[in-house]
Amino acid sequence: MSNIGIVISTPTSPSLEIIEIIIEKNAMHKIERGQFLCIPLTENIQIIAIVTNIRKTNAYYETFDPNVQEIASRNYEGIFPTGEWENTVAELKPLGQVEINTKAISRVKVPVSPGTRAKVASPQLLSTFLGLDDSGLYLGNLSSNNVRIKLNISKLLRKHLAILAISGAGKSYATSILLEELYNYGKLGILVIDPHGEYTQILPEIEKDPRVQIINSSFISIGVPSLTAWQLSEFMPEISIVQARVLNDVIESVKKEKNEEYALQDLIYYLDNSETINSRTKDALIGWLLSLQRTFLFSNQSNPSLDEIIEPGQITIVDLSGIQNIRSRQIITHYLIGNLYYKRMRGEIPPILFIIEEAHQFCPETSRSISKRIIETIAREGRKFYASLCLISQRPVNMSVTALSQCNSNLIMRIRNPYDQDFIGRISEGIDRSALKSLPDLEIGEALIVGEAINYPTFLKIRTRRFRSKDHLPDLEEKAAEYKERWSKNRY
Amino acid sequence: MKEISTINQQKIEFCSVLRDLNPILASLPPHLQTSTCDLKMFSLLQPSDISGLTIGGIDGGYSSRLLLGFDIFLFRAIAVFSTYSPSKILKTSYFPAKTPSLEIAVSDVGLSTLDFENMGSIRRAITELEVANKVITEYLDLRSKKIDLLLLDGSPVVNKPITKNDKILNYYISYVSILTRLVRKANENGVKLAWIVKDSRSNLFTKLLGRITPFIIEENPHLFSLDYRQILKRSRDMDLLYYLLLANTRSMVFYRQYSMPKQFAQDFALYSFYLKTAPFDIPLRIELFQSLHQSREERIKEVQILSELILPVSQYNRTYGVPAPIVEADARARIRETEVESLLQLLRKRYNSLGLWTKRRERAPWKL
Ligand SMILES: Nc1ncnc2c1ncn2[C@@H]1O[C@H](COP(=O)(O)OP(=O)(O)OP(=O)(O)O)[C@@H](O)[C@H]1O
Ligand SMILES: [Mg+2]
Repeated sequence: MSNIGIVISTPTSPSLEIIEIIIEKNAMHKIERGQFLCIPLTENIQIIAIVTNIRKTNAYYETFDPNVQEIASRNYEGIFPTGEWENTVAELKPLGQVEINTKAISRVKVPVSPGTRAKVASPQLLSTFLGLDDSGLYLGNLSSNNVRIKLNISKLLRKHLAILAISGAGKSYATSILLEELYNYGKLGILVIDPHGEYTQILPEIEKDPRVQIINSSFISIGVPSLTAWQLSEFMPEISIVQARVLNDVIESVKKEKNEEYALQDLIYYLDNSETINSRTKDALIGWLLSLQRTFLFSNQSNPSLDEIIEPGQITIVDLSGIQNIRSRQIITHYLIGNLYYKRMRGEIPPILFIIEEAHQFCPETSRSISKRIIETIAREGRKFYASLCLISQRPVNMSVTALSQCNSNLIMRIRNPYDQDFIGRISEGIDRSALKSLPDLEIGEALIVGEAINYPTFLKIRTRRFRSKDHLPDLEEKAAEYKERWSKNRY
Repeated sequence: MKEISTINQQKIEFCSVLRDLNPILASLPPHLQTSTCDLKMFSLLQPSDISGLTIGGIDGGYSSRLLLGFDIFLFRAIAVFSTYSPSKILKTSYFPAKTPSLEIAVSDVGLSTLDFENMGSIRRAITELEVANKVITEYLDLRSKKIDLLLLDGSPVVNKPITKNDKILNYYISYVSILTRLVRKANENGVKLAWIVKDSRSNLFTKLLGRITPFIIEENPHLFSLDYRQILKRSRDMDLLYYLLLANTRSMVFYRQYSMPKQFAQDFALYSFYLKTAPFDIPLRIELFQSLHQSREERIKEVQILSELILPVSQYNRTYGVPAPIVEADARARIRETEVESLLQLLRKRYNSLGLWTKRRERAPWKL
């Protein structure tokens, strides 16, 4: 790589905090903010630094005349060779150093020397420094250094991933890239909670793929006989321990009577006719069970069978778009994730990734949610059982802090709201102020990856999708032309 | 304090009257006319269109260091030329380089402080003239470029040093010879040469006024109730001319006494005049050698053209009127302390000589 500039000596640079370089004239177009440069410390050690700011200086407009008005009204360029003395100075932040032979990475302990030449960090060097994995998940590119951001699967997912951004920033698109990569990887079990049914749109080609299973919400039913009293109680958050114990007795009795073939109305019927149960408990339980029944999610048999939906390399998309009621969505989510998690604990299914879109609906911080407890549990303990979460949300402030703070990798895209920015700054240790400040300026498809997955917070452009998608909608003109053509044909 | 303000008031009054009058010098008694070629005291000018012309500036930087074992001088000189168009500079070139390296000279030990200073200033002047010479000979020939006007910083007048040191005297002799060579070369090549004195402390003009004012008053007795002698006693040229000259005017030309080799003195003489470029800045003093084989009209024309070329490159700020090529050359030639320090450090590393250490008092391991 060619030289970009030379380290200059100023009162603050070069130091451990800042390195200033003066850019060579012919390298002007090669440098950009966010780019990684390398500067040799010794023959064997390269310091990696990121371009945080670029400024131009020109003594002619600096000290020559303090009277700006005067400068503006005169033709300086016609009299002074001002252009000859414009300098471009880049401010760099040293991030760390790489020992070339051993590839060891460490903190910068002494600054580089003034006069040292800075170059663009080569893809190999940067890959070592960032801890990228050649056989990892290829999510996007760092164009300034011509590097493919390939993240190690374990580092990215084992301790959970959060994808956070405002609506329309490209979270779902980025998730579809993740799915593409995991599809190719082919060994994890994957469950996608898809409230808008958008993944069938985004990934229409894989719709017919045997390795992709789409579960339509209208076909989902929860088999009441498969639920213990405790499991059933999870859907009734207000239930007390005493009441749950009563419910357990009821279930035991009905089970014997009905021989494992029963539904909610059988429990209600039993309760209604019982003379031993205290009437207040009776009324409460009946009320809750009735409200569960009204969701139409419960029956005497489970569908689909949980034994079939997770296989290595299979993507299972749970399309919840047919269900408007948030509580019903939470019930399904809780039921599926909870059961699959216990299956994973027992080693009955492969290591699994739960991808949860609109995660703030399922594990909110303040409001009550049926699925919150299981999500928080997996966030805290899933790592031990190789069950990972990928939480996607445009409302990070509303999300469970417990769940979010357990997500050790974050893919952050455009964020506008200062509360969200602030919140992200707090939950994500790796982000510094300047990175945080640039979040509102990100364009669609640009993301900051930070945390366990990468050694240093890095901005990347999410790569383009390989699978074709249906989400290209014709614009008004195309649609009008299309209609008119059809209409003209039909007329004659 | 009060005195300053009254004197000032009187100066302004005196100057404004004199300015309006613009005395006709030709009508003075013959023995007072000899020093000038102008007919009037002030001439109005019209800035020229300098599109397509190339104007250069030359300046030198100088610094010295008294080290433990050596006394050293550091020099550099640079020429900068710009070719102008109506709205911007088409091209700027630098000679010998855009950032020329420093020249180091080691002085003999045992020079008196005065001789050390003499030595430094003569050698600095030589460095500048050498660059000017090279520009006119080598640079001009080599690249077949033309230079219309070359401005040099300071005055060409270097007085013969009062010293017994032969080396210094020899430097002086070579300075004069380079100067004469330069003036002839420039004349042959059609390059106008002018020296720009930024801060003149001369009183040529004041002296002249002292001599001619009585005649002016004689002609215009109603004009002066002011005590002009008192005013002139307390004024330097710049002081009066700041009020006397308006922007885009120049003073009459003065003959400048300067002893030069006989052969040269037969052909050229040194003249100077004042030129006001910026309305709220003091005028520049401009010095030039003029050929004596010219008519009075030709000499006036030469001065007029020169002034009108200097005006457009000096008008960019109402309170500062130094020609841009001089500003630029000065900025590039100036030797910065940090530069000297890093050079010395390099030398110390290379030669590891105790002689390159600075004096003990500058090396204290603390700042108290
Ligand atoms: N990397 C990308 N390259 C090209 N187009 C993209 C990219 N990312 C997103 N888009 C486009 O931007 C639009 C919005 O993206 P997407 O639906 O992924 O946003 P989102 O963050 O999931 O929004 P929401 O919060 O509303 O679900 C889509 O049309 C998508 O095709
Ligand atoms: Mg989305």
